[in-house]
Amino acid sequence: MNILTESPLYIIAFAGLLHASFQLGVGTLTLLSGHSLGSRRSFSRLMRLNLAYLAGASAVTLMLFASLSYIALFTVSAILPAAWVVVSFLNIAIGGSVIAFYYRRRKGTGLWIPRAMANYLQERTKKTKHSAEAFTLGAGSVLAEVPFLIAPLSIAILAVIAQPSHTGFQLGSFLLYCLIGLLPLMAIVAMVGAGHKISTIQHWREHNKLFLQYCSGGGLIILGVYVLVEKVLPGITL
Amino acid sequence: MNVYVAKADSTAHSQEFDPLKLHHSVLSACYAVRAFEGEAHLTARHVCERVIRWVNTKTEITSADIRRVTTSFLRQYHPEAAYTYESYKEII
Repeated sequence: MNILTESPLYIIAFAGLLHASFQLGVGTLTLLSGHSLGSRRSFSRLMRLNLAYLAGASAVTLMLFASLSYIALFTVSAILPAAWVVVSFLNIAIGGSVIAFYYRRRKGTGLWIPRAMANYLQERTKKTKHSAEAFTLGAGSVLAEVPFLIAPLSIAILAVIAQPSHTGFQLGSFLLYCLIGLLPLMAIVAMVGAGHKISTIQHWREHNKLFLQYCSGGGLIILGVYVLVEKVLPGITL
Repeated sequence: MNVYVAKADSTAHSQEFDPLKLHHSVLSACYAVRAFEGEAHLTARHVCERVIRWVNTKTEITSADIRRVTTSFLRQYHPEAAYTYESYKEII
């Protein structure tokens, strides 16, 4: 196999990038930082909360990838062509949904989640005082976005299990996806720690929300079509 | 003053307007954008004075009215804090 042209690492890295483009985790972390700064918490407490949030999001991302890969290895690997078809259409459908309604049509960066859930998350974020609560919040934000995250995650999982079993490759793919997927959260933690204002971060998110929306939606559609053409169509003989 | 605030959540009862609560929320918005302590207190005091003068001309207001009026006054003293105060509900 030519590592440069045939490696599924490109697919996994791209799927990780699409995972990173989703904004619920970033929004919740921004809100948590804003509340911590507004309550005049010490710098060490602010960083502890942010790092605990990042740890929670990382743990759940890793566990989701690992557990779904394990399940897929025993259930889906025998019917891989059908799985590729399902996953490619899933990505195309979710990509269309992201373009259609990921952000609410009003000022700000309000997301698709029901308002009652958004208010609940805001209240929980406001009352977060301990690292354990921040960890749970980070974990919860990843789980709340699973309806959209399942798209890039499923492609990355199939790309991993479709390869010959090699522990180093599987572990490397797994870490690559999670590292790329969590880059925005790491960037926010670094920016807040470096002294940037929440308003700067929020301004950037608001001004670029359409760009992010169309990039992630378009990216999912492109990935779905690529998988359909690369993995499914060659197996169809007319 | 006995001005009542109708909350955005329509199931909640109206509450009497509390200037201290407003002062704390403006202060938090200023601290969230890393304003200095003296600057934050001064800004919060000026904004609260102007909001209280506006509130005294009403008998009943909504929490959305308070947010809108406070944002417009806060924008004159600290635009970044005003943006944070206004966009708090629209971050997620």
